[in-house]
Amino acid sequence: MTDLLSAADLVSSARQGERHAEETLCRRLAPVVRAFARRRLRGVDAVEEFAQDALLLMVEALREGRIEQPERIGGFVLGICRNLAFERARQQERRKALWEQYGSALESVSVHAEVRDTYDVAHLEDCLSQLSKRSRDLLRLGYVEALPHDEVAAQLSVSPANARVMRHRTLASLRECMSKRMSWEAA
Amino acid sequence: MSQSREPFSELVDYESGELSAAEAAELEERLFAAAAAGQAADAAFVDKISLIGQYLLPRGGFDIGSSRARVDALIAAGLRVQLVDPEPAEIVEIPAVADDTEIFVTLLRMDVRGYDSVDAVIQKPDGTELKTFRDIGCDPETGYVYAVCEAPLARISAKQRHVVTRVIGTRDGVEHTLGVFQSLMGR
Repeated sequence: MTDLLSAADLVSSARQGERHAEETLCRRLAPVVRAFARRRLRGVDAVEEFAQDALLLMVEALREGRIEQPERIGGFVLGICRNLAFERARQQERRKALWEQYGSALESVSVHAEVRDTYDVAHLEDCLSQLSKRSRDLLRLGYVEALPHDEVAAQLSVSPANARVMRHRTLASLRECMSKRMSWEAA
Repeated sequence: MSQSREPFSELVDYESGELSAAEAAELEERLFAAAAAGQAADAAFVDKISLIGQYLLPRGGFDIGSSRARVDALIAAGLRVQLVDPEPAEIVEIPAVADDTEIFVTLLRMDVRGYDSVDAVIQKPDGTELKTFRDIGCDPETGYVYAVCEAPLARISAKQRHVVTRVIGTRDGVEHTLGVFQSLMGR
């Protein structure tokens, strides 16, 4: 039913708390917001994040009744997109300038720097192979892919509380293993 | 409450979202102060795991027994892979790791499919246990194990010139010895 409403009517309905109106506006505008993002950003994750940010701001404005010209909701959302893009560009420019000026100070904390010590790499790999697959999966999900704890638990098909116990045991085992010389080096 | 936790355990709880907002904020104060003073060894350890893990993951470092497709993907990614395919025998000779090798892969032509888990126990000829590779994976088509290893670890492990490998499959809680062979490591 809301699919047939005009943009102005949808904005009006949304302001009155009609969630279907919000959904319809999101459905209508999401494709162009994504197109806007695809033109400027690289990678599906970045595009999706931009689209979500823009649509969330739109929903916030709808609920707060801040859209003064409901019939121009498209232009309003375009404005959101332009502001977001501007903010991101400004942030990136700032980042680029900072990186050029001070980036060398960060070289020692990168992945690249960490793996320069091939012994540490070999040691971790050696210790990983002594863990169970579930423990390796936990490390991969929680500390390499940096997923939230609840998602780690879901992917391991255990409760968050059990995943927490696994986290403690796995890291403790790994720390103990890493504190010793590799068994290959035994005389 | 957070004061009573062991520091490493507290850090694990912090990252898994177990701490309350107040406990987390209090830990952050201490953690940042400690890090600034060079006394955040636990956080440094976890960070090391994460950074080296990011390096190892796309190089097969979490596989611990992999598939032909995975090895092909590593080669396609431009990594210099040395694939060793020794004839199955009681004593197998493993060639030395080439100077330019990045990833050393040993093919174990033994079908290990059909078990709940498969471990490879490595011993010295006198029976001294060196280590156990736990929950090794295999190629789904053949059941063969492609043992993927970073070249530095392969070189370190070759310090043990002569090792005995016992491959054990576990099904329904019962262990089955799938094979025993000796390896002479080239250096």
